[in-house]
Amino acid sequence: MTTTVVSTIGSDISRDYSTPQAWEDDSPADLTAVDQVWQGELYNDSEFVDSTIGLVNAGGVLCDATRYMHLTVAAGESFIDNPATSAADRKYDPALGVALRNTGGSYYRGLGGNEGFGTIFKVSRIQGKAPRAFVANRTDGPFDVSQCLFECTDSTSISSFLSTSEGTFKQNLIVCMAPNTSGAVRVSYSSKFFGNTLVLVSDASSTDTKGVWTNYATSKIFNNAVFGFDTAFYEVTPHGSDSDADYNATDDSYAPGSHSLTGLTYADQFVGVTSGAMDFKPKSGGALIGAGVFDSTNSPIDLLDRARSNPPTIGAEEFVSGGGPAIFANPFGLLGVGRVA
Amino acid sequence: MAELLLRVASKSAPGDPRRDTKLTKRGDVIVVQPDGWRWVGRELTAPHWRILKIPALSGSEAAMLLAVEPPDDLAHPSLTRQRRMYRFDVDRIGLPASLREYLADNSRKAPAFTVALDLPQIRALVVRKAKVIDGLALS
Repeated sequence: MTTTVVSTIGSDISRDYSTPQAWEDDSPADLTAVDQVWQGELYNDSEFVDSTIGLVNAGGVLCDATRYMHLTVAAGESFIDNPATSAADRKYDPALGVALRNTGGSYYRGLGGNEGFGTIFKVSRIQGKAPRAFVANRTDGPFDVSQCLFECTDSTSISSFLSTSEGTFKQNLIVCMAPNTSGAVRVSYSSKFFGNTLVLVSDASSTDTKGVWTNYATSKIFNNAVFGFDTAFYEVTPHGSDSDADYNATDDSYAPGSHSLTGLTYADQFVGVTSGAMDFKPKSGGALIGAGVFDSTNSPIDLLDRARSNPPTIGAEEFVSGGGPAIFANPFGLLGVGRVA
Repeated sequence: MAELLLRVASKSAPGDPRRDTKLTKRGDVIVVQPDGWRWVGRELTAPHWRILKIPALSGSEAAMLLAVEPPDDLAHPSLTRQRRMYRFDVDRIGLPASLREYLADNSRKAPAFTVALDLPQIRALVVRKAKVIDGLALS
């Protein structure tokens, strides 16, 4: 029977590791042989800050669908768990929960990366700020990133902050603070990009920028809000079927899928869209509200653990009108533990 | 001044050079932190790690030791690029006896060791790794 080995990560002396990289390096080389899930739980003892090549890089560890690496947040330590988050501006805010910040990773990666080669690397419930948030750049190493909030500061990278050969990226808010002409997010092969909000702040130059860059029509692109880019969806091979990509929304003139919304006004969809006043909660009256397609498998909950409406709001977060949000009672008991895609 | 978490026992994937080169090896630096970092738990006790405090080494120079081996051919990068381009030659003859003794102590009786070498001596211990050639490349 598979054992989940849970370790604690934080600056308090009681933790197992002070950095996520040490947690990663301490893992067995073959998780299938030892029949383990290697799970690191971050604590909000202080903001995780790194100025080297990145906060955590995973690779070389043999995994399979049930035995993998999972970097997540301890129960009660995520911005998702903080009652103040719902009303707070939706942006990187270390005061709200575990936060990771990298200031020097533009060469290779900022917050995280996966060298692949058998390693399945899952990341959930963190918020991070870095030149590039997450890079997965080799084959045979799927990753899964869900319910994370990323703020990306890179303006010089020759690559994208998410470049994946295989992977799943769901219910994440990705805010780009500077233009990147090679694509903010690359979604390749049969990767899934579901229910995300991907934006370039409106006061950054959008010249030649690209939001979602897809190389293959086999990738699955649904329920995503992509705003602020010169080209929101750049398809090397166009998605030819609504069964592969649909129900997306953008201010650009094109988004894949016959039910997708195009030509929307950026500032009408989110509470604040400039770098000086960021708040990427859905805006009351916006066209994203109720414009998605419900997906009980890939998007039953939103960025903040709230049950998706049917039909849902397009993007990472459901629109909540007034009052506090209804917190989704997770039927799998996985709050703070993460989930298998 | 920098403090380093150093691996002294290789993590390996025998028979699989693609995976093996992505795992850290003896002499690889895992984490670089500023002077006075509070190391915790397994970092202080795991037999495959050591903590070196190196007054002569700046944080920025220490961070270079984390560099991944770059691709020779950007269009067809090797599948056996190594996780670290550099390593500390922890087996070099002539290392101070006290450092050799610390590196050999898997009991971690002393959780950390201050390396009293000057910068040229430290640099002389840094070795660029030989490439791992197996003919594999991304197409």
